[in-house]
This record gives sequence, C-alpha cells and structure tokens, in this order.
Amino acid sequence: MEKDYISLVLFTVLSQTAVGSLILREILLYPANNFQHSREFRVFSLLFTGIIIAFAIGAAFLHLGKQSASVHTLRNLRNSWLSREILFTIAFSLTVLLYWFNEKFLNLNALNFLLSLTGIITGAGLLVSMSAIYMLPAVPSWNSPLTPVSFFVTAAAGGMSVLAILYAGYGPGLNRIFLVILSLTILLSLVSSGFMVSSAKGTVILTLFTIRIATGLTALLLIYLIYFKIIPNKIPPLTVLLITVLLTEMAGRVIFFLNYHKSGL
Amino acid sequence: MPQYAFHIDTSACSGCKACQAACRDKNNVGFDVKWRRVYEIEGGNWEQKDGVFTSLPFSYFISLSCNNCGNPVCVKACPTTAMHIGRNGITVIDSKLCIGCKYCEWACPYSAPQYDPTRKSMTKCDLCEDYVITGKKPACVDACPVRALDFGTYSEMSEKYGTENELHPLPDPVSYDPGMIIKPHRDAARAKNENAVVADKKEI
Amino acid sequence: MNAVTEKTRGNSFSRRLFVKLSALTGALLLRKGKKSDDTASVLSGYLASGEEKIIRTGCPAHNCGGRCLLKVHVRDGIITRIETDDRPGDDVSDPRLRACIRGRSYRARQYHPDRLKYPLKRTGKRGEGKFERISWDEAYDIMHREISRVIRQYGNSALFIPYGTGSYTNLNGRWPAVRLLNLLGGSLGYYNSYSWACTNIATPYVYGTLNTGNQRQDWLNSRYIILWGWNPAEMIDGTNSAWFIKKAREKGAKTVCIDPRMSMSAVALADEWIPIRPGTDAAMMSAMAWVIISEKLTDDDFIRRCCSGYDSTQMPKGCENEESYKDYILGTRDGIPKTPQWAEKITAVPAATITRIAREYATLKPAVLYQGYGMQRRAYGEQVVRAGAALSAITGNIGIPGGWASGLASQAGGEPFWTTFPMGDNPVKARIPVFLWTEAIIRGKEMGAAEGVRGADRLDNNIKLIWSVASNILVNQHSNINRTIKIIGDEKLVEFIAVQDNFLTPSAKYADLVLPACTQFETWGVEDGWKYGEEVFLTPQIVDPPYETKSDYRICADLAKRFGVWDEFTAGGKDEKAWAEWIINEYYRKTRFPEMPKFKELLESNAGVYVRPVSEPVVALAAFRKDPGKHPLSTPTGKIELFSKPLFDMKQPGEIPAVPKYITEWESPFGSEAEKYPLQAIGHHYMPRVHSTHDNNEMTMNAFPQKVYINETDAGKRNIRNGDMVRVWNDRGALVAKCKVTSKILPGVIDIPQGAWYNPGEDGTDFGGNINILTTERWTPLAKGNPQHTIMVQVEKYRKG
Repeated sequence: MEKDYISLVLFTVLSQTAVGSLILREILLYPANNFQHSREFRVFSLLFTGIIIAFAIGAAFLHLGKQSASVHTLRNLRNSWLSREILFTIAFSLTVLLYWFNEKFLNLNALNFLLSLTGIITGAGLLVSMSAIYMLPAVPSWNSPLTPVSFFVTAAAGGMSVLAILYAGYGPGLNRIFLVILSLTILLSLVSSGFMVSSAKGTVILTLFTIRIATGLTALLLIYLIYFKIIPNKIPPLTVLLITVLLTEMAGRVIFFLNYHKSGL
Repeated sequence: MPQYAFHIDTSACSGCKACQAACRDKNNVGFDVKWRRVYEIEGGNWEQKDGVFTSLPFSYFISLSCNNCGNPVCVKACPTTAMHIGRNGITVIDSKLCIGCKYCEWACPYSAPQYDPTRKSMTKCDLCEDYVITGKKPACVDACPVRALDFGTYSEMSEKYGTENELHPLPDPVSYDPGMIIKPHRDAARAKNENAVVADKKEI
Repeated sequence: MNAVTEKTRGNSFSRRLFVKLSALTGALLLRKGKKSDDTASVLSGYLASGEEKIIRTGCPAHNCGGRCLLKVHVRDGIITRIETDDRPGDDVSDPRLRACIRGRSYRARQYHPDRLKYPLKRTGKRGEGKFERISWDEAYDIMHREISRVIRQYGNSALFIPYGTGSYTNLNGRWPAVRLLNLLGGSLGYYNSYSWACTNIATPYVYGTLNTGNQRQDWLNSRYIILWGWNPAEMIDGTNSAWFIKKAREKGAKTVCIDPRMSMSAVALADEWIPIRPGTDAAMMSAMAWVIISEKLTDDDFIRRCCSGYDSTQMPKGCENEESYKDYILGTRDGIPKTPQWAEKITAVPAATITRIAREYATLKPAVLYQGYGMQRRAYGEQVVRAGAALSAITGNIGIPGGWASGLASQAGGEPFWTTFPMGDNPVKARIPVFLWTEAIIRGKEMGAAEGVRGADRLDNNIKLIWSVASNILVNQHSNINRTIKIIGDEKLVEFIAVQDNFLTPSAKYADLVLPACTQFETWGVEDGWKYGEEVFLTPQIVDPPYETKSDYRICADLAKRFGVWDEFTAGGKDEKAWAEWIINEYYRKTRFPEMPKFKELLESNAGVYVRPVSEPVVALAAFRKDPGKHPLSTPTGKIELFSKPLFDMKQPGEIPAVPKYITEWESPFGSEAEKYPLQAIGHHYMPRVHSTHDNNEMTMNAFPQKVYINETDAGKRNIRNGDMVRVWNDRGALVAKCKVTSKILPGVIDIPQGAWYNPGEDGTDFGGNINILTTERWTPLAKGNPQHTIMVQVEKYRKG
C-alpha cells in the first residue's frame, strides 16, 4: 500500500462523519418535532455536514492519478461498487446542499421532509457501497464484517461528536443519554480495532494503535468530565472531543489501510 | 473469442527474471511497475544435529503477469470502464478513461494492474496484444531460457499441459477463472503444508 | 581515404538524440531527488520514431559463459528494443540462443547517462577520481610519450596490459592493444585466468588435455547428474546449459545439486539439494570414493586399462612405494580412512547422504559429475578438480555417452577460439601467472619459477606502465582491494596508468589517462562460444559511437599512427569491418567452420549467427577409452593419472600432493582464525552482472540488488533482520551492504555476490558491497591462481559512525 492512502483515510472518515451527522440529526430532529431545535441549529448543522463532506470529496480527488478523467467514473454503475459509491457521494452532497438552502432561505416544510428522507437514503447507500468496495476476496484482511462495522461506528461516533458541538452552541443543551451512547460507540470502536490490529504486525502499527487508544481514552475522559459537569458543556471542550474522536478513527483507518495485503502473494 | 492462457512451469523456473526484463524492454515500462513479477517462495528450517544438518529449507519461483481471467474482477471493479475486455478477448486498459484510482489493483488477486506515476494511469500486462494478433507469443514467453513459460488459447494450453491452476500461495482460482495453467514445483505440497510465504515482498 | 582514421564520428542526428536521452534522464533524477525511475533505456522507446530496422547480432556478452542471439530494433539510430533468438524450430540439436536478463537489459547500459564521452586526464591525486576533459590529440600525445619513455627507460617488459573482459569479442577488448605493443617490442605477458586458474592447470595433470567435456546435448543420455557447485541457470555456463539439464530430467535423469547455497539451479534444475561447507568438496569426494571402493562399485576393467596410480599395482616408475590413490582413500598410509563419518564432520553433509550419493553416482550409469568453477577459486582449488576427476575415473564414467570426465571440460571435438584477432608474436617472452600482477609491480625483478614465471628465468623489470583495456581488474576484481589500491596508487611503482572503458569504473578512477571506448553495438566484432557451442556470431556496427567514443581497435590504430606502425597494425589499412570479414573468411572458414557462409553472405542474410547443429554429440576421450594403447593421453603414462609423478617430483606433498587430497584451507572454520572471524564468505556469480559489468545497469540491478545473503540462524545470533544494513569485515577490510536473511544458505556461510563496484567511504569501508575488500592476494600452490572464495569474516548490524 502506497502513501496515498492517507487521502483515503481522510475521505472515508470525513464522509462517514458527515453521513453520521446528517442521519443522527434527522433521527433526533423528528421525534422531537422540531420544537426544541432552533433555526440556527438546523441551518448550522447542515452547513457543518456540508463542509465536512466537501473536505472529504477534496481528499478523494487527491487520491486520483488523473483528476481530469473523473467525469467518467459513473460509467460502470452496473458492476462497480466504486461507481455506485461516487454516485451516492454526489447525491448525498447535493441533498445536503439543497437541504441547507431550503432551511436557510425557502423553509418549505414538505421539501424538508423529502430532503431528509433522500439524505438518509443516500447517506446509508454511501456507507453500504463504501463497505462493499473494501470487502474484496483478494484482500482477506478487508473482506470481513469488521469493515462495515468500523465504517458505521465511525459514522456514529463522528456524527454524534459533531452534533454535540451544535447542541452546545445552538441547541437545547446536551442530553446525558446522548453522551452515554457516544461513549459506548467509542468503546465499541476501540474494541473492534483490537481484532484488526491482531492480524497486523510491526512497530508502525503498534504506534498507531497506541495513538488510537490514547486519543480514544482522552475522548472518553472528556465525556466523563462533561457528564459530571466537571468541565462545562461548551463549544471549546466539545471541539476538542470531536478532534480526538476523529483522530482515533483516523488512526484506526490508517491501520486498516496498512492491513492491505493480497491473499498469499 | 477464445480465452488466452499462460502455462507456467514452476518446476523449471529458476527465477532469473529474463521474462521481466523482456517485458520491460518491449513495453518500455519504468521501475515503478512490474507487469511481470517473479515471486520467490521460501520456507523450511535448518536442524542441526552433531554438526550436520538434517532438515532443510525449500524454495521455488512463480512468474506471473496478467492471467486474463475468465471472470475479470478488475473489469467489474473499474468505475470508468477503462478496464475492459478488448476486441481480441484480452483485458486491457483505456488510459484515456482511467482515473488512476487503483481499485482494480486492489481487486486483482494477482496484483496485475499497477499504477504508473509517469503515465498517471493504471497499467497492466496486455499479453503483448500487438504480438499475439500477429501470431507471435508475448515477449516474456519467448524470453524464457529454460522454456518454462508458454502461451496460447486456453484450449491449446490445457490440451498440452492439463488444467492445474492451483499452487501455494496463489489465491483460490475458482472465482476468477484465470488463464493460467501451472506445473507445480516438487516442493509445492510441502510449501502448502508449512504455509510458506513470499520472500522479500517489497522486491517482487 | 581510410575508414579507420579519416571517417568523422557519428551522425549529428543520433548524437542529438543521445544528448536528449541523457538530459531527460538527468531531469528525472532532479525531479525525483533519487535514482530515476525511468532510465534512458525506457525513454529511448518513446523518443525514437521513424522507420524500424531489425538487426540480428550476438549479445555483448562480456565474459558471460553464454553467447546468445539478440534482435536489435533500431529507429533513427537509436536502439529501441532488444528481442532474442526467434529462429523457427527449437530443438535440442539447434536450440534458440535465448538471452538472459543481462542481454535483454542492455539498453540501460547502452544509454546510461554515465557513459564516458571524452578522453580525460587526471587532475587530482591518483585514485581521487578528479579528471579534466582533453582532446584525443592530447590523449594520443600522452600515450605515445609515456609508452615511449617507459620502453626507453626500462624496456618493453615493464609494459603490461592486464586481464580484462569488459569488452570481449574476437576483435574488441585488449587484443588490439596487445597487437600494437607487440609491434613496438612487446609487453609482459600472462597466462591463466581469474575464472578457472586451478582447473586450467590441474586438469591436464590428470587427463593431459582440457578437452574433457562431451558436447552438452550428450547430457540427455545421462541417468544421473551431479551439479557440484555448478549454477548454470545463473552464471549461464553456456547458453541453454540449464535447458539441456531440464531436457535430461524430462528423459528421466536424476539430478543432485551440491552447493553451500540453494542456488537458482538447485531450485530449478535439481531433484535434491545437498548443502556443503565451502572448501570441503574434496573431503566429500574422497568419502564417496571410499564408499565406491569399499562397496566394490568401481569399474575395475576401466581402472585397469585406462588409469595410473589407482593402487600399488599401477604406480609409475620410481614411485612404486609411494601412496596410491586407493591408499589415501582407505587410509592405509596415514591411518585415516576417508569414510563418510570422517567427511561428515568436515563437510556438514550427513554420512548417510554421502553414502547414498556415492552409491547412486556409481550405479546409475552413465552419470555426470559436473564441477562448477567456484570450488576451484579456493585455497587448494587444484585438489577438488583432481578429486572430482578421480571419481569419474574409478566409476568408468569417462569416454561414454552420458558420462562426464570432470575437470575443466572444454568441449571435445573443437572448442571455441575465444580470440582470433592476430596479435602477432610477443618479443617479450616472460609470462606471469595472471593473478600475480601486483607482485610484478612491487617485486617483479625477484620473481622466477617459484612464482610461476614462464618463458624466462626471472623478470627483468617491475611493471611500470599499465594500459588497462576493458578491465576492472586494477581495483574491483583483484583480491584485497586495500592492498591493491596502495600499490597502484603509488606513482613511484607504476608510473603511468591508462584505462580504456565505457564507464569511469572503480579501476578507471586510478587512471592517469582515461580513454572512452564505445560499446559492442557501436563497432564491428565476431563472437563464438565461451566454453561450448557451435556458433559464430557476426556483430555488426548497429549504431554510431556517441560523443567522442571510439572502438578499442580504432584507438589502437590511431595510436599506431603516432608510433609510425599504422600500416603494420592495420595490415594495410583494415578497419573494424574488414577485420571482421577477415576473421570469418580467413579464420573460421579455414579452420573450424569451413562450411559456414562467407562474411558478405552472413551479413546480408541478417542471420546474426551461424550455427552447426549437434545431432550426434561428441564424447570426450572416447577413442582413448576404446583403445588406450592406440590413443594414449598426453600425460607421462599416457593414462588417466590418479597419481601424478610430475606433481610428486615437485616435492611439496603438503600442498601439492601426488594424489588428490582434501587439505584444510589456510582460512577455515577449523582454524584459530574462526574465533575472530567465524563465518565463511563466498562470492557467487550474480544474475544481474557479468563480473563487474552491468553493476551500474539499473535494469538488471533493480531486479537483483546487491546484498549480503546470511542464514537466519547467523542473523538471529547477531540481531540482524532482513533488509538491515550489515557490516562485514576481517583483517583486510570492511564492507557495508544490505542483507537478505534467508534459509537458502548453509548456516556459517555468507554470500556476497562478486562484482559490485567498490565505493569507499572516508575510512575505507566499502559501501558498494565488493567482496574483494575481504579477499586475499595469497595464491594457490600449484596454479598460482586466485583463492577469492577462501575467506573468513565477521558480520554485525551496521551502525553509522
């Protein structure tokens, strides 16, 4: 595996975070019937998601040898999971963009519902196709249920961390159950990567694993401190939380890419 | 269109890499890619007893390029259809379409497609298509000093050499249907039992 | 007008392309900040356009054991592709002469940006590698002045043209230089070679001839083949030798490879690999003889009719009471029966294995025991040659189809000529053993018969001028580099050194004057086989010499003009092409190949090669075997001498015994030196190189980087991991190279493939991985040959500083 997998680390972690943040937003928004959520929350959350997915797409472009030919990438939707992933990425991004435009300028409720549904479907489609891409028989270390698990866990942990900031800034305040679920997700993430690391060797991977554990535990500590109100439930500590969560997921993803090896050869 | 196939006699291959050099020379590929790769399999241990050695290691070589699979996962993987089965039944790359995403490289169990940073495109053995259509054999095949390589349509090759296509540690061929017929080295069974690995992967 | 001296160099178009190629490669170097990923060889494929010509020629094989056919594609005066033999049919009698990685990678050497382009004059200290560009006029002036001065001051015997094979056709290389000096009164001669010094001298003591080999197609008649230290798949000991072994196996022959390394041949050509401790082959051979004799598996009739000195009944006159071969094997005199148990401790080969191999060899007849050359580039290399020949003799595997007499085994029924270019007579009659040229620099005047001097009682001069043509022997390929560079670095000893080559080799860095020679693709030549083969290649000039490079012949012809012997040198104005024509029409057609096409015909057919198919391979010593009385050997007894009276008469039984014996080497795991330096080091002939040629070829070296091969056990003890840089040293020097930890070499042995270019750091440590930083200048007792594989070393993980 070459060095350029770094852009794929960024793409996968950021796009999954974006998808997670949108889907969670919709889940949290609708049962609550919108009333607790301010307009700022609704607009900013979409803006946030949009920015994250934009960065993800930028990173993906860096990975390509020849960006100019990327217009051709939808030609093999019939067979290629990569083609499908790209389709879902585009659809998801456009949905977020439209959604944001509607929330900010038009405020058409009917459209909101439609866009919310499209966002959830394209986002889920993105996660599913991304998992299918990596589950290759030729790469046994990837061809395992751990691959989709880790992708969905990243989406959940990243998405929740993003929403936590928004809640602190514009929302009704942070639900403590939310923090419990986030900490459990991070724990799941750490545990699942334990299986991954056992198949890999080398000092580089051990270092990455250490980074992953350290950042993961820092995130858990932060949640603990916030939960017991030892530190305030404000944007700065929550931003630190998001960064630690993203770091721990990225370290995990680097391990994932370093685990790339062909069966036998 | 018939499927083309290589015959690889791993019992006679010395790992001399004349095939690789012939390929480089004919196709003008740089050192970032190896359209034909020679894998060195190494295993076994030494056991010393009273100054003499009883248990011995074993080794053999596998020379691989593109196996022109009947079920080409690279073609399925490619998002742009740059990787496609061409007019002559040979899986080839249209470099105008290729974005260099390397997905075909991941998907191929034999690592045949490789990214060439100079050409900014995936590249791959094309079985010397220009030679094959004129009735010549690929450059690598006609290079082998011990005639351990052969090439033809799958039916020609299987008639001559049988249909064996399994060899440790090559991947299970079932789902790929590779155009590859193998004569196993005498130590192939031992290598499988002892799960021997490729020596010096970085240097393939 | 004469083409040799008058024709202007190169056409500007091809030169422009060459410049472009070099520039592009340079640009890549800059862009990547590391070794370029694409060499000029690759780029040349893109750059050239225009009509394609295909020219068939012989591979510029240098001193490779093979001679192969290349199909060179040329566009716009640039070589764009190199294919190999594609003649229809490919059968055993006339197989395709397929080139290996070295030939197929030749574009990377041909268009290497480091090619020497202009004559250079030294500006710094000798060996410092600092030069300035000069004109050919000035270069010839210097050559003329220095050669004349040394002849005047010391005499012709102070001139020396060393052994060298960097350019090696019948016409290119050192031969023209020798011819020129012979016209000027001669130069100090040499005999023997670095390749097979011991077998070259020892074989005739047994057989009275070097032509002890059957034509190789005969291997298909064998039932059992021992590849003893022989690695034809890698060193290419004859094009197709490996393929013939494969064919013999297909016909049912069993093959065994005995070698400290699991060589490429052990993997691909043998049914079984038997690792053996280097330098102990004669012990295993003696133990095999013990088994064969004590189990009565000998061919008694053959021994009685054809051998001498086997036992007390057939000792030569005057030696009736001396120790016979059988005495030595059974230990009747020294009290040590050479049993497999005795050999086991020496060789590390289990006694049961030795016994089994002995039985197989003696019973699965006809059988071949093929001796590689590495085992005789050792302290007592003479012994192993004779011990192997003795096994062939006592089993009667000599003079029969499918058998093999061992020894040097040059092809019976006519061997290749190596060189046919007429060098004339050397008025200086003294010749030294080739390995002793450094001795002749420091104490030539003291050298006589004891140092192997032939043709004179003693030398009347020390070497004062060296003209090294296509040779890297001055530094790289001779033993003990640290000693050698001290000697040739001293301007009071050798007063003038000229080096003529394609590249600024480690040897060329010690030159006072560097003359840029062109490659074999850029001039005419004729090649024939190396040790085997029924081929003659015509190698036409395919592209023009770039920049100011010239052929070896033209350089000498130009110089001949300065000396006023141009007419004699060029035999009335012959250029390279005319000489190639002369060699084919007047030499080959009048000697070995009267039926071959004339030069013009061969050239116009673009066949590149003339081959005489071998359908009934000649068997060496067949007539002798049939009737030893009528066809005696040219040994003193006319028979195969297991006991040699001439060797007995030398009265050095400890080092030159009359019967072949195992002698513990002067540096071995059995001596006290092993406490300090516990590992044996050998330097095998490496696939990507021919000796030191191609070491700068990115295409071959990318496939096979220079490495120190070390067993897992030895690496483990030293905390060395695969890919680590390791330091290897002994009292003579140290080198640093990347290591490969492998199970494919005997524990206690490391392998440093020979031929890497010496690349010293500030403290003299070699970072090129050249084994000769560790080897010894001591010579073997009988042949005065190079013992470069007999060295003990220590290894550690390298740490900077």
